[in-house]
Amino acid sequence: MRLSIDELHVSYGKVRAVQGVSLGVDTGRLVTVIGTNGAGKSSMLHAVSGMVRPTSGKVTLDGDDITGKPYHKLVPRGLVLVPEGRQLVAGLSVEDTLMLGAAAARMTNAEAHRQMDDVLSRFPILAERLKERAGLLSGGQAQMLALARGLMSAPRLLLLDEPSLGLAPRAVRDLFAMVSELARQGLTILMVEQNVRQALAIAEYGYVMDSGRIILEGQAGELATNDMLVASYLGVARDEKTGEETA
Amino acid sequence: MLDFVQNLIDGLMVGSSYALLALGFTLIFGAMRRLNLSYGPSIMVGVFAGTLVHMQYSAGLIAVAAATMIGSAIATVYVERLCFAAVRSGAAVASMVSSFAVWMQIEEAVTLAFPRRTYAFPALSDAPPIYVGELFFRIEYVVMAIVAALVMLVLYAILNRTRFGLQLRAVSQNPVAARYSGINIPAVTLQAFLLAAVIGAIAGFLIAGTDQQITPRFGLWATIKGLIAMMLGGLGSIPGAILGGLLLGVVEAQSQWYLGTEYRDLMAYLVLFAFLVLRPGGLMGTVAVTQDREAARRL
Repeated sequence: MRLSIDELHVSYGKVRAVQGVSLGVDTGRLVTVIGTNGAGKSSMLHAVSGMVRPTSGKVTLDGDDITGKPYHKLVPRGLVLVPEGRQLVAGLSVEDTLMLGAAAARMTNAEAHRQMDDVLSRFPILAERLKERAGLLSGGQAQMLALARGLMSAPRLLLLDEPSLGLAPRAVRDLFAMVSELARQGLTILMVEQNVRQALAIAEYGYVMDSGRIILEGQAGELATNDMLVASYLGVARDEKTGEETA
Repeated sequence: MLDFVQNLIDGLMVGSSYALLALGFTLIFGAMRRLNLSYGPSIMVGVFAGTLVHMQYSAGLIAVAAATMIGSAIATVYVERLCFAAVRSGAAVASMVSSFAVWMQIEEAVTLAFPRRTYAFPALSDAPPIYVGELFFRIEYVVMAIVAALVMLVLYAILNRTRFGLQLRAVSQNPVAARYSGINIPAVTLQAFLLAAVIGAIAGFLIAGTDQQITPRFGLWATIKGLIAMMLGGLGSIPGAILGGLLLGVVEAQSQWYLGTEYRDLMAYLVLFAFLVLRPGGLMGTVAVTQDREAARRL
């Protein structure tokens, strides 16, 4: 599913969070938007997914204008957001949480159960804890559940908002391996991340956002070696004369 | 002792109808975290619709019950659109105040349409009471308790076995996360109001069928009984609403017998007051609240 964002603006009162962002994600690609906290990445995803209404601009899915459509209407069309901070209902069981994903995509019961089997085969840890309350999962498991709930909606475009936030290094590795695997299987993914190095390691293309604007874009491999990016986001500086990394 | 047991049985049976009213309040409160003061008056509209069908067409109990549900549902949708859907984010007090205003409007409209005030409602049963040993059971109360128990079972199944129930539980516990889960919150909310309307209509039908009459004051009465029962049980708790309704019924029956009719409501308020001071979360509320907090902290 092809996503195209054109001159998107998002404001909260006087705060202009997104100021004219245009980007595209082609079918089957894994694209990442990186940038610091407060750069407007999350606001951009919220506007794309209909969680907030953009001030102006246009969002299209396979050419259809979906600007400002509420999220619950976009899920059945295949657009699924895995929100920052998981946003799980603590008191619901893992199984119920997954069924919410199927319900949002308006699946029949038979479809929902088939989808459940498919999703659980990817997340054996969740399969063991179907009756456990979501609130009792560890951080890494909770993030997996949020991702699994999204996959239960049978997405054709997956929007990931800071999936690695607050996770232990090992959980981050597992998570990115999963995202990478989904991309390899042909799912279209737009991932917003602060974890620049690892995001660029699995993405094909990247955009760098700062103060509500896109300031840099390119192939992920090129961005990972871009001097400016390396200096400001990867926390390493290069010695100008020798070109060697210094701490 | 025999009196006490007899009062206890009567109280539980009458309390089952209070429990239904409290469940309706709880469903609406769960979906919106707002009180719908017009809940009782909406039910009252339904009961008058039932009376109308009864008087005009001498309809049977099933038709009267259906008319009660339809009337209550229409009035409830009116209240939901006007006081709740139109007043969306953050303005809980505005919703509550406007539901009070609409209550007055509904009561006035019904009074104008039914100027005699007191109207006959068909009896649930005119069979004589049955005796079990020295205890006696009014058939209307038995019907009331059985129907209420069935409604609770159906509600349990709806909440735990259907998608709507799952979505409503999600919205009640965490509306923000529910929205991120792709739930159409306005639609689920409207359905919760309708479910509450049907449950309230059944309660109204059972109560009016026991009293065999209805007045426009029924709205006030139903709102107060439902609110007290909900507060006793714990705001927003489904099992709490049931326990609170039963407790209210028993307190009323006992105080009416031992202290006299004039003390019945006074005792009910006294118990409510004691709960608000000593156990503000109600019978179940505090448990649910702490569990929720525990889980939320871990997420």
